[in-house]
Amino acid sequence: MTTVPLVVKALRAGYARHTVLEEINLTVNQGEWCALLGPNASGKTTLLHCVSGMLAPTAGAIEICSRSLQADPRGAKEKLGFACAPDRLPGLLTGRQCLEIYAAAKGLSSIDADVLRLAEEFRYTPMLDVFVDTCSLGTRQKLAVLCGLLGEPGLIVLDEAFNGLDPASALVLKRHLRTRVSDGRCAVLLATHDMDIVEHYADRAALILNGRIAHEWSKENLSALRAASWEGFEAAMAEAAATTL
Amino acid sequence: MPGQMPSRMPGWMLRRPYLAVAWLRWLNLLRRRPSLIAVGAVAAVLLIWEITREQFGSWLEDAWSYWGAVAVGAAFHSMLATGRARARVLAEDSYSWLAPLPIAPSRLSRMVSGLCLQLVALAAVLLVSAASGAVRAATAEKLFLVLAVSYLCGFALGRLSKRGEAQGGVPDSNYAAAKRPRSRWASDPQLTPLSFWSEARARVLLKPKVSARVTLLFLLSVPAGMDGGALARQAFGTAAAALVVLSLGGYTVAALMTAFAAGKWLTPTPLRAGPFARAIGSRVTLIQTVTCAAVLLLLTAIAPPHLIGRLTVEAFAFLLLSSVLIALAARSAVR
Repeated sequence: MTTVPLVVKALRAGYARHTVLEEINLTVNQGEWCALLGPNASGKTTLLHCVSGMLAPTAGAIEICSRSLQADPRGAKEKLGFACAPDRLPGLLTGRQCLEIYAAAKGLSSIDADVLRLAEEFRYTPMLDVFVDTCSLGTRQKLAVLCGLLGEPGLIVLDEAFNGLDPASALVLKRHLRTRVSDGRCAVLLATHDMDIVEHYADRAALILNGRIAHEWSKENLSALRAASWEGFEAAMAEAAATTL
Repeated sequence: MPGQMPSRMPGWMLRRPYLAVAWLRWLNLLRRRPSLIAVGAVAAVLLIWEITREQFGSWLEDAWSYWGAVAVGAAFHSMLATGRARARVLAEDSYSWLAPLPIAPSRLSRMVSGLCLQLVALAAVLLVSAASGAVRAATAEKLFLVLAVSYLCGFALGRLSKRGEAQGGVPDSNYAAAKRPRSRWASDPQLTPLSFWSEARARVLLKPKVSARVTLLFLLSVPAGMDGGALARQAFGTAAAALVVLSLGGYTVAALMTAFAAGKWLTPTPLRAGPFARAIGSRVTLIQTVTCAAVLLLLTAIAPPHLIGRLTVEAFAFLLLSSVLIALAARSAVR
């Protein structure tokens, strides 16, 4: 029996007295790439922070690979791969040290060959011994993604992970994630503003507006929109947003 | 006027974006944390109570009797502060979000503003102290004059500093040492690099500029004289002790800061608090232990045995307290 990588039930979360997310229900299945869309400050990053255990929700439940993030946080996090924001990486460490620490923190006996190969494809290997805070945004983004992919996670969570990547590296990452998803090794939850990813790589998409999931597109919906017209998905999203707002 | 931005800030300030940003930062900090106003008020009352005491007045009289030392200290401080401000201003001109604006960079005013605020604060302290009768008005006037002239000289010397001109890269990165990577980093990953992070942060905290200022402060706090007598020995002893305490405390603070910073980064992993605390604190505790041992060993040459015994107990207590604090911080950082 395959486990469901992510189940979010009736989630409510916010900062201090300000509620950002309300009644969020979301399921991401094995072998599925789910794109999370929405305007700035709609709650995408807050949802990802809840899923990664960085923000405790005020209500609701999150399960990662059938393990409750609240009741069994360690068990749930063993199955999670989260690429943090590049500005959260430790500036006084080198990229190699960051990868080593992250792998050790995940209890890995070695760094996955897959990740080392991806670093090579990213042309990141020569930068491994450079201090993080002397790296460019794109280079730090690559490191954050590499850390997130360590340990064959069942659920990969990425927050606008293509920001700052050069086109060649972005393509390498898209293909890498697509291969992992197609092989049924994981599910991907990606918050993005990049329509190209939604139109060509994602299996599902969800639109968050004002802290609620306003619309969802299934694999079939996305296929139909791709076939319909050149700006099929972009137009459909604008229409969904206009209807909700 | 149509198209004009509504603002309660005066026009002259809006035309000086660096000043406006600094002002708004303070204002927003107080808006976000109104409790700081109460804390500030309490601190101000305590300060006023302190500077109106006779004891404070007698310290000022002592300071006046060693005005040469005060002048050298103030000029030294002003020179260091100006050098640092100059480096900061040059870095801001390259990296700040305001750098691309079509405005005059106003480097001089940005460099001198901090020192001016300090002088105003010192003037206020001397004024209140003199008004309360704690110190003679003439002494307060002469002390202020010495400070003002010393600050001016220090500023002139600080402006000559070349610091920051050729400085590339990111501030403070030069205090972190790039370790040669372990050959088995990929086949046997460990948490040990976390300990280097704590150490690098401690080096940043304890950079020579900070150590020099603390030492100077303690040297000036004891009216030593220049004759090498008992008072001078006491002053040098106090300064050395301050350096040791600063170093030990700095390493603990660095480990605590690293624990919280690393905790934010490592929260999405299943890392446990025990191994995390060991990784963060091991190197720091080792360095602190070696420092304590070296200091105690050196002290055996001059200090009586009962004092060595007391200091050994205090060193053990400090190491224990530091380890407990690091463990608690690690536990709360990785939930």
